[in-house]
Amino acid sequence: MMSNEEWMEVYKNGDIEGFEQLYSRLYEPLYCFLFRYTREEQLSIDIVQDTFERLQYIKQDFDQQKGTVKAFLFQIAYRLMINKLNRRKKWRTLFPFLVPTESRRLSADEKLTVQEAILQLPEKQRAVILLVYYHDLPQEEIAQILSIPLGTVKSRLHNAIKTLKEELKEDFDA
Amino acid sequence: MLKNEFHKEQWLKDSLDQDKVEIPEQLITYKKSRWQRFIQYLASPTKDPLEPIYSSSVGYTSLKLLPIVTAVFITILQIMLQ
Repeated sequence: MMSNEEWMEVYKNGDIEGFEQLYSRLYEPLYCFLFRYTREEQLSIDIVQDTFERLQYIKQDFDQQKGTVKAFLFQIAYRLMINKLNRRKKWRTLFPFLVPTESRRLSADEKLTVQEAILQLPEKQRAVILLVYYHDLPQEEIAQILSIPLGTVKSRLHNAIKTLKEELKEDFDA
Repeated sequence: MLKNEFHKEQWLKDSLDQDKVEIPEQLITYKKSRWQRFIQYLASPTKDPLEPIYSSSVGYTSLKLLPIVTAVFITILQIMLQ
C-alpha cells in the first residue's frame, strides 16, 4: 500500500490519481479538525475544498524532508481557516446587525458539553488540543502546522488540558 | 507522544471521546467547479437582518410608521430649505 508521500510524488509528476488518492484519504481528518474547531458545517466543507484547490497550485512546494503530506495539508487548512475567521470578524465589526443571534446561554442546571468546552478554549489552545488528541500528530508536525516553536506546543497543550479540566470538572464531579 | 499527557486524565479522555463528527456526504467527491460552490453558497440559508424588528409588536409598528415619519421629515426639510 502506497503512503501519502508516495501518492504526492505521483501527483507532482502530473498523475491526477495521486490527487484523488490524497483527497479520499485526507478529507475526513481535515473536516473533523475544522469542524471541531469552528462547529460550522458549511464553513468547514468550504475550507476542505479550498485546501485541496490550493494544493493544486502549490503541490511543488511540498518537500518530504520537511514533513508529511498530512501536516502540509493541515497547515494550508489552518491558515485558510484563520484568515476566513479574521475576515469574518472584520465584517462583523462593520455590519454588526448581520451577526447571527448569540448562541444559547447555559442555565445553572445545564451541563457544559465537551463540544462547548472545546469551543470556549482560547483559539491557540484549541488547535493544539485537537491536533494532539484527535489526530495524534507528533509535536514537530503540530509546530509546523501552527507555525510555532516546539516548546510552545507543549506549553499550550498543558494550558489547554488545565482549562478543559476546569471547565468540565464541575460537571464530572456533579 | 504528546497524547500520553492524557493518560493521567481518564475522565477527560472519556469526555473527549464523546465528541463524534458526522462527515457530510457532499465532501465524498471533490467539487472542482468554483461555480458549483458559488451556487451552493447562494442557496445556503442566511439570516434576515430585519427579523429582530418585525418579530416584536413594537418593532413591527415602528416599521409601519417609518415611511410616514420619513415622509414628514423630508417634507419639513424641503419647507426649511425653501
